[in-house]
Amino acid sequence: MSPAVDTKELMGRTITPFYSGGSVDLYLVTPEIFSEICSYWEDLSRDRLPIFKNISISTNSNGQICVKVWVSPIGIGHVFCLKAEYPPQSKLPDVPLIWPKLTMIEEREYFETQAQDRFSKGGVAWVNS
Amino acid sequence: MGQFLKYDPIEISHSLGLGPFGLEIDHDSGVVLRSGISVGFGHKGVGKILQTLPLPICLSYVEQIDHQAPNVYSLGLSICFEELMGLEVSERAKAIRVLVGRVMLMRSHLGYLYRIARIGGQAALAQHCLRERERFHDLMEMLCGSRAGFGAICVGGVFSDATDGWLFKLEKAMNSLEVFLPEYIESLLEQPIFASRVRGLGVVSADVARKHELSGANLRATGIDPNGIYYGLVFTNFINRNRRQMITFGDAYSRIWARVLEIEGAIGAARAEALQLPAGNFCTKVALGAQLGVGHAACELEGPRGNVFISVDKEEGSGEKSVSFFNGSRATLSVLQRATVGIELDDLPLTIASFDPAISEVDL
Repeated sequence: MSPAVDTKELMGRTITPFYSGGSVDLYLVTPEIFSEICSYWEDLSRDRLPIFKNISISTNSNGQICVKVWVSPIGIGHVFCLKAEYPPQSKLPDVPLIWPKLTMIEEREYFETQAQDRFSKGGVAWVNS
Repeated sequence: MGQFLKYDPIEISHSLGLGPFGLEIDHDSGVVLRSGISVGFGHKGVGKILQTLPLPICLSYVEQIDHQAPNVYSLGLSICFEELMGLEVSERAKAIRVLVGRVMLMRSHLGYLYRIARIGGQAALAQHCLRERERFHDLMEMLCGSRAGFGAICVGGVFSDATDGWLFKLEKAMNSLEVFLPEYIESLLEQPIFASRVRGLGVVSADVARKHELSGANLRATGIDPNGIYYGLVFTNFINRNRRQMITFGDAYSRIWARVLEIEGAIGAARAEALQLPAGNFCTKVALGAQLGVGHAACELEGPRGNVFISVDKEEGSGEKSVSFFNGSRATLSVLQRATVGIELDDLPLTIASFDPAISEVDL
């Protein structure tokens, strides 16, 4: 039994599941819509982002690149799988949701804070460079 | 002056026993500036291998991904297979699967406590951990023939029934463990020198843990208390409330405590569940040549090293199934690289071991 989830809230647009089963709803989308959904996720705050579960990239029997992203809007139990097929040799989308969702700036800030916390008591001046 | 160290996978797996991974460290006078972890040395491509294998044999393959908690992978895959086959599993089989999960959690965490004691210089205490762990190995051998628990879960149920004798031995093993845990706490966790060494070591904040989708005991050690997922049961919401303050700092000390508290909770939960085992069959036999129906199924379970997500797809007109995993250790490795920055080189093995990653197939 699928939960009543508004896909517009989850993906920025209303999509009908290609397959609906006990634990998974599969949404088969075009690369354009896939990119559109990724852009929608990029603008969402952390609290509203669907929970990332998994990603797989493989090739199908026609040589197309098949990208699947599993997310969960409610955390436990039911997951949504978003699937898009790309022509061979095409550039794959930069999916912002994909773990770990971090920028280099955040990395640097974290390292500097951690280092300062660690060494401030010992009187050692040290900053990550 | 910065210096560069490179440890090859063999050396690391020899000293820490976590599986092959490479470690590259920039350090300045023994203080880590940057660390990089490389994985994939033992990559078998399990997802590809499973495509054409018979269903029961698939379970044997996925169990190799984490040899300390093979039941998590085989159970997750079994649940997906059973959903696609429309196979109903008996309540007794489900209850035994949960009990097996508890036994394997205690067994895996005892291995963790052993590694921590060994790296912390408490060799005698480490041996006692192994002694306790052997009791759980005996239990798994009794249930499925394998001391490591391989083959305990099968499609349709479990390999053999939980007999009165098995439950009696389980009770004995848990009684012994209950006596041992306070000794471990007193000898290691409350030992002032060790405690001061691991406090503040490899800190992961709750915010970073959430960003990286950390799960299981490592997430719990940051003060976040997720509900464990295991067959609809709240698997790990059993941690002693009075001791919760021990596991809110996100450091190595909290991570070790989180495991100890999970063991304590698992003992209590297993004891209650053993008394309420429902009657019924323990397994519905599935033929070697059984086929999956067309469809998509997914399952997420909490194991000793965090949540494991497994999905199985069978497309229309295709004879192959597609299996995909997301392993809790994959998130752990990402956090681990950040948590090692700023620590001393001498503390590096303890920091890595405190996260308890299972390296195999994290690059899937």
